[in-house]
Amino acid sequence: MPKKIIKVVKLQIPAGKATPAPPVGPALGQAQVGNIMGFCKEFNARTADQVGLVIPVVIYVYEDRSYTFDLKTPPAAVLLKKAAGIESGSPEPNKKKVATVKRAKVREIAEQKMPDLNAASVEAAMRMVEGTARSMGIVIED
Amino acid sequence: MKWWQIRLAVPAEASEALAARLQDWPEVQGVAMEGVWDATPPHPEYGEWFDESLLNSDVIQVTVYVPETVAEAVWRARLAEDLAVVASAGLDVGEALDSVRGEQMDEESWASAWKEDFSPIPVGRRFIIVPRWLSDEAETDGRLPIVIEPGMAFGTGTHQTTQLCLEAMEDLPVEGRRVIDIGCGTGVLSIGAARLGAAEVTAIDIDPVAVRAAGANVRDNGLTGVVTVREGDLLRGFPLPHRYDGAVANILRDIVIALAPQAARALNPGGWFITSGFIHTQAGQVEQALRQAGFTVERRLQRDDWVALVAVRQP
Repeated sequence: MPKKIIKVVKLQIPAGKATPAPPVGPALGQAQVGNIMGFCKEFNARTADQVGLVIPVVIYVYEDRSYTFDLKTPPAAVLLKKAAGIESGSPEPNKKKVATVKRAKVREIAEQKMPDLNAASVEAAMRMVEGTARSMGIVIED
Repeated sequence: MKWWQIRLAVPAEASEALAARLQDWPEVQGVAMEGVWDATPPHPEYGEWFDESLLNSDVIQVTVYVPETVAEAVWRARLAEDLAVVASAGLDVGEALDSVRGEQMDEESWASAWKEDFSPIPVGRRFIIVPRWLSDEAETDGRLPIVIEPGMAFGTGTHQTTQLCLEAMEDLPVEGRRVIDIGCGTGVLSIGAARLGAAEVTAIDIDPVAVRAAGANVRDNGLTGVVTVREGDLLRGFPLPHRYDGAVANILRDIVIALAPQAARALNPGGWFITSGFIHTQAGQVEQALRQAGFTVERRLQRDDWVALVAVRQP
């Protein structure tokens, strides 16, 4: 069928735990697509093995308001925490640094996340990931 | 329950860092972002493409929700702090703080609102497409009901091409015949053929999500004895049990053109073939492919820019 995509919404939500509460309900509701429970069921089934992680899911809405979705790799912040071996970022990232991550690792994360970042190049994606790291109190070293 | 819907616009480069901080708010379950683009659609093999307005956005609309019990001053202060942190990490936050808008929303406004966007749709002279949750109460006015659950498969009934295919089918010999629906989506056209009295309908789609949705819709219409749904690709030698008296393919110009020879082989001489999924400027190419595959094009239907063609396989 003629599948023109008229709307794209990315949600970052906990794996295996989608409910019709915000942001899922309003995001799908405002996109005027049907079957919010159906989305939750499908998302939870497909992310059941990743419970505990936040997973970005990109929802594509077609012209007749049917839709599909794609799961992405965890957000850059989650990958950075994993790489740095920390549970959470610094409460005061400007004053208190909590970890260091090699620049090569930043590049790896940037390459991994390229598909769902609005980045035209790996360098642009790296800039986003490095900024995210600094905003969490993670120091980048060469 | 009421919620604050908090929206703001940030330059793309700051969106990931900001979303991470918002995700850590104790009341926030998730973050929504619009303006995010991918280099390719999720399923280009199904012939998908992006509306031009979606490409190359530099600004991301970020939305989070907190219960209304969180005071506006509290969430505004948190948001200002988060933006300050992101900015001091060297990321451009633009005019994000000035773009912040908060609006109170009732849960009801989305829990049921989407259903109001779908109502029974009369199609042609004989059909009415009914959303599943209205199937017990909807007035069908003597029309043939096609019950559909709108969801993750194409063919909710609202699209011009779905309607054109059903209208074309009304005027063709269907009763007692064998029909194949190539690229069935929700199964809306297969169910339509069964309602017109087809003896047997084979519905195929390459997308497993569509196959599941069509199976459920066929069950909801009580037509499991007539319509068989299968996952498969006619272009890759999907084995057909026999020839058919009618075929329908509402897909896309290029796929319909590629399918025309297979459709001809799947049909008995004199069998009809309804195709749609292309606009009027592309219809000529499809007509040519149909003629080359041994069809005579007998009818052309158009709504807005969209076209459906009815062809007959020559003996």
